[in-house]
Amino acid sequence: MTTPISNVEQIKQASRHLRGSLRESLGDAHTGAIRADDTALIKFHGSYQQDDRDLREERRQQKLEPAYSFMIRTRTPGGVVTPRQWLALDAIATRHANGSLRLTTRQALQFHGVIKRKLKATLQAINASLIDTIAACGDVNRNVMVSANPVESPAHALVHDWARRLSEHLKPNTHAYHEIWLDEERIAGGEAESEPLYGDTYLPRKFKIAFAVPPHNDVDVFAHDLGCVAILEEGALAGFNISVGGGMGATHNDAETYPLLGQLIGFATPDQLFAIAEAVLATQRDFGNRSASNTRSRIVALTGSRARSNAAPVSRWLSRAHSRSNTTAIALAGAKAMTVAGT
Amino acid sequence: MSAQIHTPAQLPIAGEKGIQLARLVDGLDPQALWWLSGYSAGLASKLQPQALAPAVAPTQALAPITVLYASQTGNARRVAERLAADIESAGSAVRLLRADAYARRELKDERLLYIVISTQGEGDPPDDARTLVEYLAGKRAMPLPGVRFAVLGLGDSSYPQFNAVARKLDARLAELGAERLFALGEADLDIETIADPWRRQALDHAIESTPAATPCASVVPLRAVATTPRHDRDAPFAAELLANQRISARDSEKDVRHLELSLHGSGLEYEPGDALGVWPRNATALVYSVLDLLALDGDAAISHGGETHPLRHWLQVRRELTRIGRPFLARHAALAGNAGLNHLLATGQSAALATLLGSHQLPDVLRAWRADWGAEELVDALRPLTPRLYSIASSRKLVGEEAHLTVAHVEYQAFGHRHQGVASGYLADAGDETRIAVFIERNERFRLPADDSRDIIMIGAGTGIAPYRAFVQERAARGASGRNWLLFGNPRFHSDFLYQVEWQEALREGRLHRLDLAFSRDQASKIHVQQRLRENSRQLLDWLGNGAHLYVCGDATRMARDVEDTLLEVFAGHANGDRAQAAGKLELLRQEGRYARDVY
Repeated sequence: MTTPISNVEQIKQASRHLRGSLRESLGDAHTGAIRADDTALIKFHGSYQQDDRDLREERRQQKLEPAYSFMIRTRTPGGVVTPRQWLALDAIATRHANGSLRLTTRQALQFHGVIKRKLKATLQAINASLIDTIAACGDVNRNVMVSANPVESPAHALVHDWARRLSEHLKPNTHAYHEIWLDEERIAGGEAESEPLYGDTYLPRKFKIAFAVPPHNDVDVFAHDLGCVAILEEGALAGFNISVGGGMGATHNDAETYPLLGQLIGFATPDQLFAIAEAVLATQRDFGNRSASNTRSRIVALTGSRARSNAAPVSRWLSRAHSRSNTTAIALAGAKAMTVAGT
Repeated sequence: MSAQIHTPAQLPIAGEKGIQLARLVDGLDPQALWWLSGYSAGLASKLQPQALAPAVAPTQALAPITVLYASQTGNARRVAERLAADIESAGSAVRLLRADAYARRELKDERLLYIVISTQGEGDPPDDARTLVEYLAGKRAMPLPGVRFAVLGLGDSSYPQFNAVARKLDARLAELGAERLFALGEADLDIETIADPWRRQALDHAIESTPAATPCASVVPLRAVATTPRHDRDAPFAAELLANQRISARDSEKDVRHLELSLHGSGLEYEPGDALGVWPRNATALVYSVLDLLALDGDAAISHGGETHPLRHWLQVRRELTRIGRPFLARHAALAGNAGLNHLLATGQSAALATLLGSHQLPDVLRAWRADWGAEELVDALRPLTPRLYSIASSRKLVGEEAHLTVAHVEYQAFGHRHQGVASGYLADAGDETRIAVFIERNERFRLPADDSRDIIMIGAGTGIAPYRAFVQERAARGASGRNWLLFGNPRFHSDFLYQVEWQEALREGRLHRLDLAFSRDQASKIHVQQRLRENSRQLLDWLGNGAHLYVCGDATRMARDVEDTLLEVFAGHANGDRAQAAGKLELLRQEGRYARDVY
């Protein structure tokens, strides 16, 4: 039986790779809000619309619309920013947002209280500091977490670098962000712009990756869709033990959804990392629940009732990923011995 | 179900015909009975057409059944949708409406009304029903005789305020004279347990009440006999204050109020563009400070111009205390024997004098330059209190016997004391029990085009938006085909976008066709309405070329002047820079009644 696809899925489908009517929404001076459909799309650009709940009723009586503002979140793998970037972000928070800069549990930075009129200038300023907000929210790969302190050892630096590269690799391909916020021209032949990794409707739900370097597991690697536990041999990075299907998401009162630990599926060398990540992501993309009844909690393919056999769809995608790319066949070795919290 | 009708003794049909009638209707089902009533009404109207024709008013073309819902999470909507679908498939006309899309003036015309409404956590209605629920709970709610209704509440019994909204609504509708068809349904989280039987009942009543054939009857409205005395400036009407709502946000520098006054029973009628005259009262604190400063007895009886009142009364309702004139200041200077003040008056330093008169209320003068005033001479010297005029912000076609005002509350600190404008302070402080003395001040020069197909351009700043609210309401009610363009300016978008939600709705629904906004303080350089005019000069000329009427309302000294300069500039730009030609064009517009100003 086919259930109708959810509203958000329809919005994504019609959005021309996340463009929607965001431009028109930003240009509408009569409201501090963006159009309803665009509220789903702007998340993929690293922002979402909020309103001050405490003022809602008061403003309704005042015949004023709710006090809308926007949260903006950075894509900063491992939460690493340079001192110069930090100062730039701090200044942006003072100038365009409510003055605060929040550090999130996913190692991102958040601005709050940015009004629509200042949204574009704020995103331009953030990008000018060489940080972007692409895919910081929405149904895509989110900010990649790393427990490694990059200055602790060369191996730690290497793990952080893999996380950064993976984050870059899994970034949506659409040029929408650059057109809408950074005033870049639409690339010639833009009609042919494709999303080879995500497809036109992106993921059914958000997707989370974390890297841990034993013995520390402060990123909670098994609570992620994809967990990568670095295996260091005599100080050198040998590869990663890969876990899949973890997640904390659960919808209250819905027994179909519950938190689940990720399960180890084997060991991967660094050169296998992108292919594996793509395969896991594609599994969520193609097996995830996109129906209207989806409560948008964890995806069924990686968690929930089918979680115990999740290795099957992942391995199917590993072989498909192989046939599509020119990499060597991906055959995961057995997971190596490791000691991290949660094992 | 069959009819059992006993012929009442007082039936106008007696004897044989009466018996035949009883026989005829015996055993007929409701549909047949409805058809019969329509049939006989049709016969009656043919026999006596002249008796009905002149007085017949078109009745509201409402569907016979209305299903109204208010939903936070969609459950109430779903139940309402199912009910409406059921009724429709049973062959009855029904309309399904969300509470915030419901025109509450239609309530009294409803025949069969079903309401499905949820109750939120602390006993609150869903957002989309707040306005309606507030209205119904309020004292303004109209009586609803002839309305039959039933209410279904959706709630969660784990909260103490289980179905509180539905309960109140159900009780209130009955209180207003509507007839409850069957008991309130109170659904819990297992909605269907209660909702399904409630829906079945509702459906049964819907089917029963639907006539098989549209009865050929007309409603003859009873025209109220105009026996109430006419009210005017000298005999103002004591209007009940229905609403006193601040409409500038809490962080605004201005306190702007939306006031709704009841004109019920006054016989007062106004047209869009007219003003409401308000007879203010000076604040009690202000009266006391004058009495204290002069050590005068408020109870002392003072006669002036053939009238005798206690001094307190003279000061509170008969004399200006917030505005002083030059004659008063001259007498004060003489009494005070103050050289500086006398010099100021004598040397004709008009600018300095104007500043003084514009900034000082009576207590400020009394504090600055001590003088001994007697009660009689004080009453004699002060200016008589005059009413203040406010452009009416409503159309009677929409609000009925009400008048709405948009009032900027003038309130500030000066000379170490709180100051208020006499009327705006009086109105802003007015509570539920206050009766405001009002009258209508006609403003024939600020009228909508008689031709509804003409476009209108409305330029306003601050409370100058008031008459445009009336214009847009009126044009929508009239079904005017001309376009409405509003240009509005105020300090900040976030806090000073007066009636924002209403304008958004008007745009969505096609009652307003263009809206250009100028918020002066939202950016480094100030932007005013005239800049928007300049930016849109091509459209402005197009609209005017098309016969549009142009209106300007608001501050006279800056806004209206700047707008006029800009109009001349735009016209001149169109006439190769010829200022004289531009001035001629503006003058022509004025003569044609297409350039109207309401400035203050």
